[in-house]
Amino acid sequence: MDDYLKYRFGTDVEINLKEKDFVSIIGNMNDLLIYTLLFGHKKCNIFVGDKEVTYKNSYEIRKRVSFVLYQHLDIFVGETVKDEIAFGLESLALKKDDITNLIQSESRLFKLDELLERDPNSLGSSDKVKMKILSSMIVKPKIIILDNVISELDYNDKLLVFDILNEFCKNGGIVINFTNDIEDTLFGDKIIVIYDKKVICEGKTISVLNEDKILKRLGLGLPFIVDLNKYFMDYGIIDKYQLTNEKLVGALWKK
Amino acid sequence: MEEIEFNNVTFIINEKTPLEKTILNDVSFKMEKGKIYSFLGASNSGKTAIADLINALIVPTYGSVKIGNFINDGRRIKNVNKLRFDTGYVFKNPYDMFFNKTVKQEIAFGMKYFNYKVKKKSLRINDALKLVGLDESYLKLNPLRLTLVDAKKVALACTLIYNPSILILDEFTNGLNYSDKQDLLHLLKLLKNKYNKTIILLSKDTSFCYEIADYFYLMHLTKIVKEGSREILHDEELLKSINLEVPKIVSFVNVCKKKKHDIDYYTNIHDLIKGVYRDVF
Amino acid sequence: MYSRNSFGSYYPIDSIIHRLNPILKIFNFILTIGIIIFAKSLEINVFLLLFVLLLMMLSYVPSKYYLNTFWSLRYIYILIAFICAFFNTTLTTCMTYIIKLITLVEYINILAFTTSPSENIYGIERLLQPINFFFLPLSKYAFKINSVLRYYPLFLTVQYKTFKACASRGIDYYNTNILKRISIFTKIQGNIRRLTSFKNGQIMFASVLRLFHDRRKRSNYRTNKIGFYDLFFTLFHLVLIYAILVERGIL
Repeated sequence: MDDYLKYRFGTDVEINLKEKDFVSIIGNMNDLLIYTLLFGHKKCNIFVGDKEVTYKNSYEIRKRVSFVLYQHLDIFVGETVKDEIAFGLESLALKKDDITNLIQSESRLFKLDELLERDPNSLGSSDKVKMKILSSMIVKPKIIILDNVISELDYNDKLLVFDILNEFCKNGGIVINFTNDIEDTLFGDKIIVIYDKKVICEGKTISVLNEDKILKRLGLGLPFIVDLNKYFMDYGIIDKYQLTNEKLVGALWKK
Repeated sequence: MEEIEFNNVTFIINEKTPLEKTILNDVSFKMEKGKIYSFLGASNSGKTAIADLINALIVPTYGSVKIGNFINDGRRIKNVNKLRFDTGYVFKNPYDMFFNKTVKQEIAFGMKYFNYKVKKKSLRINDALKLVGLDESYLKLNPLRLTLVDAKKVALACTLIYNPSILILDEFTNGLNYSDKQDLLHLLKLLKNKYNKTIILLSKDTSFCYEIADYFYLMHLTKIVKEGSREILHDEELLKSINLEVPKIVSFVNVCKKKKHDIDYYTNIHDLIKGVYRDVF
Repeated sequence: MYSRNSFGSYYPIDSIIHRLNPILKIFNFILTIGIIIFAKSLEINVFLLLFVLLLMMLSYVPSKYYLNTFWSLRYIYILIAFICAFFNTTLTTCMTYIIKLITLVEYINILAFTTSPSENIYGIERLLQPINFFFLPLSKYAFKINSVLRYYPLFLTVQYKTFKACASRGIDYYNTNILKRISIFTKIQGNIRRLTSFKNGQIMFASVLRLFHDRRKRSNYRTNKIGFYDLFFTLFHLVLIYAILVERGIL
């Protein structure tokens, strides 16, 4: 399959993503990467599908790539939650009935259907993030980019949102999750570590988390379960990764 | 500053309109000096309102709040600036705290108004930045253009510069990575042990608070459901029913105990590994 | 004190005024501005004020919100009275001016409480479309007009948040005497204005990220078709304009 998103920054940073990828990007360059994806940069070449990201075709690119930014969590374009969600659909000039039906069905998925007539300033932070993710997903983009917003969700909402994003990926979308919390990387398929304008490692989740020395030296840490597994593997108690508590306990006390 | 006491506090906004909402319902507790307290709860459970009440930014609808010698119950508080001077409050969204053009003006903001005569003002500002892990190059930047992690650190420096005796951190660990969290742990332990400050953490991050706090309050919707020391976080069903994540160490040890291996509830990962190693062999 | 959650002007409730078509609302507002500028006699202004009071009652928004603006302008009424006394005008002209001010402010309030911003943008764009001979980017202008109309509530929100941030560091605006209030306000004024324009820019950028385009037509999921009440209210405005023309002797 061809790559859908091709990203080049300078000579060292190169990211290629195919459809159905769920990527977590960690490191200290997250903000710079998001800035280049939003506005473009002199040293950057970005291809989305077959179109290059320039100032002139920014409308076409924004139809395919939608962002959920932390700085915009308190910025609302409408005065009710329903207005906020419907803004994108109104910009696409859909009809009135289509908009209301779509909002009803999608907000039931996200469990926002009782909050539709409220003022968005009065919502809790977890509901605000869900509303922002819903309003970005409802225009059916190809790529969704999340900037450090997952840590604001409650625990049950986090599992719900990750289920919905996995569903989105299976239907041919790409999800890019810029995060600082290493525990969230367990929910995705791939990890890319970008530090000081270089790609340090890239690959499937478990193989990147296997490189614990690099991650600890960069200050990124490891998820709790993977850390435990690593220590016990070093002491020789277990052979391979056991990623749930039950399996790990079973493997530890087998001997 | 001595104790903090909440007596049957209820807080309702937009009373007698269709948009009425109860934020806190009959909350009472007592806090002592010099410990680290932690309020754990999902969003919309009223944690920020407790911080606002301690800082006297809002007034309770019923009940009263006592902070040291100050009483906040609806009447006008004399010398309320003295209270605010002594409680450092970092907002949930650090960009809400910024309104000056440069970081230096931001950190040095209240010094003029408090007649805070310090001989070497710039030295004090640099000390505050060093405590949170930033250097002098941040002084000329526009605070609204900082990244999230830097903004949180600058907001913390703004409050630490007055040397308050109560420090309130509202959801500070959201979005911090592993090394920043370890630095924060060291800083909080230093503030508690060496300077004897009272620290109040409002958070959803149960793993972080489990490691450092002495006393916990669990909040759900508008009430305090349970309070106590670390043992209350060992009850998985309670935490799941109020939409909180179980601390990772606790869930691992609970699984061990279910399969009848005797492991204690340690607070950090190194002690846990030593304990497991001892039990396996 | 610092417990207000939102200064959002839109009050989400279902009433007759909320269901009116936004194109006619904005058209009526333009007619009202004409009436306020050109009406001289006291009777026409009083009729307009009574009509506005009727609209306020029909909109089901609690009167507390309307009285807030009425009360906050109390110093301006005294100022107008002084200016009229200085120029030796009669009592009736002084009252006409005060009634004109109240009508204008409360009419803007009614529009703000009962029309959501997306309806506003839709209404302005559709109203200007028939006269768009130069194919100008109407959506962009409609959005900018809307952000100008929403500037004052945004300014109040930013001011409130700034005062809360100041208060948490020890300088309390709402708890000091008036001299200190003036000094705080003047010192922080420039910062608040800068923050408001920054926030306005961010709102514009957020809407661009949601596929807002300068030249494309938008739809609106809220609007209702033109009904009996729309025509009745427009008729009332046209009757008042007829009365002004008769009064001035043109008809």
